Amino acid sequence: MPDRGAERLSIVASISPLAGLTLPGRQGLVQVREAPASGRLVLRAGPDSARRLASAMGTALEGRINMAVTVEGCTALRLGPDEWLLLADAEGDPWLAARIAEAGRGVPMAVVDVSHRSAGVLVEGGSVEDVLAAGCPLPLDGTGFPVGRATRTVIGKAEVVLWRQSGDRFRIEVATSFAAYLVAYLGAVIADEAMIRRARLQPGR
Amino acid sequence: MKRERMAATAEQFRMAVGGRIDRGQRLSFTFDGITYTGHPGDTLASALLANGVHLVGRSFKYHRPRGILSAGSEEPNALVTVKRDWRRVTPNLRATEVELYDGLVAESQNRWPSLERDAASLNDRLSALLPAGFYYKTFMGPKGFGRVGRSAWKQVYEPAIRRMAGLGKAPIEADPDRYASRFAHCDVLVAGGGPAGLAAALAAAEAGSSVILADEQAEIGGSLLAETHIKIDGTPAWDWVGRTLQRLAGYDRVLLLPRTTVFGAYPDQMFGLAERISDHLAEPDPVLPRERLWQVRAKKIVLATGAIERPLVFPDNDRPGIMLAGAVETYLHRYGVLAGTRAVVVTACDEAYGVARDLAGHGVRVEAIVDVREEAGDGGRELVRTAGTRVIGNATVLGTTGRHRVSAVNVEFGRVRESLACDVVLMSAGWQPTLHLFSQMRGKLRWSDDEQALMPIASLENVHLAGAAARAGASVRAALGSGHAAGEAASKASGKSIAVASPPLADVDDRVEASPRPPARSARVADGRAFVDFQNDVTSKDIRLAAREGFRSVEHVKRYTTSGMATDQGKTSNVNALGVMAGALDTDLAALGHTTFRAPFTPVTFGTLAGSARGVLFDPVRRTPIDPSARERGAIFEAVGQWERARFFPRVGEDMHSAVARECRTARSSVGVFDASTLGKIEVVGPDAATFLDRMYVNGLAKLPVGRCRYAIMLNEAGFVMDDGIVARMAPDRFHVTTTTGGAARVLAHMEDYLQTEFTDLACWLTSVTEQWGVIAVQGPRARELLMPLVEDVDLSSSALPHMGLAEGRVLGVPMRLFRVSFTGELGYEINVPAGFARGVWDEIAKQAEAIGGALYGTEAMHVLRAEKGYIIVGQESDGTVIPRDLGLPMGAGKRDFVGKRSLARPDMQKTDRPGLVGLECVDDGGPLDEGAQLTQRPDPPAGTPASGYVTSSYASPLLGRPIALALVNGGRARMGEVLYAPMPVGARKVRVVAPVFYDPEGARLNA
Repeated sequence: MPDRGAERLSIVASISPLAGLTLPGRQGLVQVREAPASGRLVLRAGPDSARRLASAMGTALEGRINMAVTVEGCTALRLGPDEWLLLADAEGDPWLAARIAEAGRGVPMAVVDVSHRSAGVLVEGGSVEDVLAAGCPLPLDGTGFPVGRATRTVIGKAEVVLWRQSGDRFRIEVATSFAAYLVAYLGAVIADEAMIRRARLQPGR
Repeated sequence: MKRERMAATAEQFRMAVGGRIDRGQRLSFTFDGITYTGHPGDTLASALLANGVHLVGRSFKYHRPRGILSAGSEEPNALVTVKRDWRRVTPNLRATEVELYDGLVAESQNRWPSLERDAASLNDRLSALLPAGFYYKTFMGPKGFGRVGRSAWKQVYEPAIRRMAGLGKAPIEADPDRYASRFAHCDVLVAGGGPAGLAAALAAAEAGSSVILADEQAEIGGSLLAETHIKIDGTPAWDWVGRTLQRLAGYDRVLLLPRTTVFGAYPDQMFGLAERISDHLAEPDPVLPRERLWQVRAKKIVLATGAIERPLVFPDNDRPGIMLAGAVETYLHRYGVLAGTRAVVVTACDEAYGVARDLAGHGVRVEAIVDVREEAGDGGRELVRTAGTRVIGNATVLGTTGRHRVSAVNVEFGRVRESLACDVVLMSAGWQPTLHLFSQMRGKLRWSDDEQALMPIASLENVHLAGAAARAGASVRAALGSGHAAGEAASKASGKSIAVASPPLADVDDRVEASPRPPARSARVADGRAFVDFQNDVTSKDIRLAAREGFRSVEHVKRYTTSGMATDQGKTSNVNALGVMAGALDTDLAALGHTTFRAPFTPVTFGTLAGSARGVLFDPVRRTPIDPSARERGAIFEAVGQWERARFFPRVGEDMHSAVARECRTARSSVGVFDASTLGKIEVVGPDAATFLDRMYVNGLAKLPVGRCRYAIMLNEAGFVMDDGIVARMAPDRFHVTTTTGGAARVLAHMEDYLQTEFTDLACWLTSVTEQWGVIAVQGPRARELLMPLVEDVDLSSSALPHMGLAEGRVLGVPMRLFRVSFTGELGYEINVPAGFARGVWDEIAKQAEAIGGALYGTEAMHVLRAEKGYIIVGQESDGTVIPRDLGLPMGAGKRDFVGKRSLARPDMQKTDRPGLVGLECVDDGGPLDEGAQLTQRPDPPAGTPASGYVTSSYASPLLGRPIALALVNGGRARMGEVLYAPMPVGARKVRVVAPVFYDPEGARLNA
């Protein structure tokens, strides 16, 4: 049930945590971009509860742990046995939370809106694995981190949720106050990687 | 002292042909101001030797002239400082590892005024006064020397000794270079790229493994790079190395890392690798990272780390020109350099005979091979038979002569004494497998009489030894075979078992295997100063002295004599030290044990370990969504943990004191606006959420009505206050809990811990929402008036929204959670809006506040305002040892249980003289007390008097016009009215104990 307020315009605008930051990139290496705006919900529910949410979530909750499943514009990143981070296409989608609440009436679970908790950062390009491996201790090759994998990890000193969307694209969810650090860190490692590659290509090295 | 001199003759010891250097290109470099030449492919050491330079440094303790001992990372003597520019000065580099580049500037170390005439070489004459452990014995000066509590050791001797002894000077300038990092994962990590490593990498790659091959040298190839005789699979060794590297590079899953040292082994198969990227370049791009740290998780590791040759222990065995035999061979074949023209070989093994043969073949006059074994092996003699080289068996080396370069070796055999003139001495006592990483991984070693080396007692899971690391003196043929087998086995063990081709085959089995070598201990040592540890200047006498003084354990002897404790970790000395010790104690080498090797294998720069974590990337700086607005308004910030928080908002002409005073007065008289976004926030949701929180906090929360907040204290298991905050009930099954800024992560972990281990029966879940919500505190008598026009769907009247009430609605059209709470003692609200909207809402509220005479305030005013009301800050009024009662807070009533409750029943918690929170009033006219000041009953207590308490918070109160302070005082409120003193260096401050609430004790303003 969308409340009447949802239709009213906010007098003030929402500002992206990435606003004002220069997003780094190098031709032929990787590019960092802001992910499309999305609503975010944390869903916590045991196996029985999760099954009973199928009417609202379809098969989105049936993925394996540390995998992402997308159903009708909503991606469920399963971060633990009873934990999903739900990313909805449009920001602040009031319907998703309402749908889950409706389907989950009387079911023990927790749904918490965290739409503004993190920033979505896309890192895309042929060398994305090498760039992220500068600061992420997980194996990031296709076997160790296949398309669809999503997990909590660290990049440098920032805790993140890392989701591989395609062979050469990762989405990073980083807490807003760490976004500036993450962007600066990625800028540094991209520059380092580019310089090391250039040095290797020069003859006589 | 600037000197620019050209070397007299250019590279006179460079052979006309041979070596892997690029003779088409000439590089110019300086050493101690003299210009020399070399070639690409040279190390600084090989280029110096090509120019006839042997004297390259002074020793650590005795300042004895020292030369180049080895050709690799084991070098203990040839430590130099390389100066790239005024900011890039690197001390203590091993000349044997420094790659030559055009314009390289190197200097010797630990000498003054010059390497040739070093004043401190006097130490050498005084060596009798400087025995092992001399600093433990001699320098125990009077304890009260100089200032109280500082010993003569600290004040006089240690600084003097530190100046005297030592290595290069640590750089003073900030390191201008960049350092990169990389995590990597592989099936098989191969440490070392000699014949065994190459064969292992090849086999592993063929088997389908992902492989990382790391080699510390500029060129991968190891001993094969100094190998000119052997053919492998029908091609000369050098060609085979090139072809093999090409083949390996063809595999997608193989990574070749030259100039990369596997320096450390860490738990769960994690290895630290240091890659040198730019040090070898003449003009590296300033933004090219200098080094890169690799953290490699490898399922299996093949240790193809080779072996290190042992020097022989004989008097004056440390003169420049006395070198390891294998090093001389390497300089000859790999660099085309003759280490001298007239050689004496001193040996305890057969392999040195082969080097002698090679040298003779290149025109070096080999005076004699002095074999110190009682029974020299026939294999050696056979090698030099055709050359007719003189062999002196069963000999004792009495000493050597030569000031800056060896000039003769004095030997005794039978009853004959003879002086053998020479300009280079080759020595070899056999080889010790390089098992540092094996030892780091907790692999145990024991002396093996068969191998004449420390060998593994048992194999380690996940570790495969190959080549000379598996067996000292392994031939190339054996190394290729064992490397291949190790690579195949490691792959199989990591689940990759594609069939591999047969191992590469060397055409001849070149080494003389199984030559009998005596244990190091039985190498007879004549009187004189025979060096065991060259880098730390430890002689055999020192070790025997330690034995005489009762040291029995190798660990104790190591520490007493410092043998093996230099930056080379005793790579060339450990076995000899054990041998001398075994002799002195008349015990078995195997029974003696050995010291454990620690990471790193060779020194690693701080830069490599720090990586990008410097400057702005040192640690994340967290800013609130309101931060940009506060900056625009000229806020001054302070660091609070990782957060940057606005401390105060000075107006034109204001200093901090006046700005804070104005902010406080405005909040008391009108309205103040404060960014409280850093508060930790946890959303606790689920049918059992109330029960859970009821158990986690001292304060009962089960019956907290929906729409209400409660101040709550969290204890740890020991009953001590660990955090506080507001618990707000949004719905029957939903709570919005705040924590202190610094406690956010700790409290969440604490709750999660209990939920997952103790209260598994409860259905509720925790979600951190610290960053979901921007928080704007609006505090002051006009707060309601300010907000009234901005909010919708909320009745702000005290009847509808009393103190500690909450409401959901909209502010400026943005959904909000509104809490009526106060940390100032005034009518107050905390507006929570989704973080993205926080700045917009803040800007509008700030504008409206300023329009009605309100002000923004920062953390400093926040501290003052709360102290005036006696509100505590956890971590300031509490120190991890106070319980709620100490702070005047409730202890939890009735039978309700909560975390920490049982600890509160301990007798110590009942004592009446426990510290208690009180206020302090300054009786004098001084300014605020110092926070942390101790409180005593007398103004001038004698030393040792225990304090009665201490000041926890202290401020100038603009409201009261005088200083106020909070303190923890033993006995607490029972001492109300008592006079105490805060003794300070300038004299004691006199204070009176008062109630800790200085303002509106009835709370009338809160409920306005």
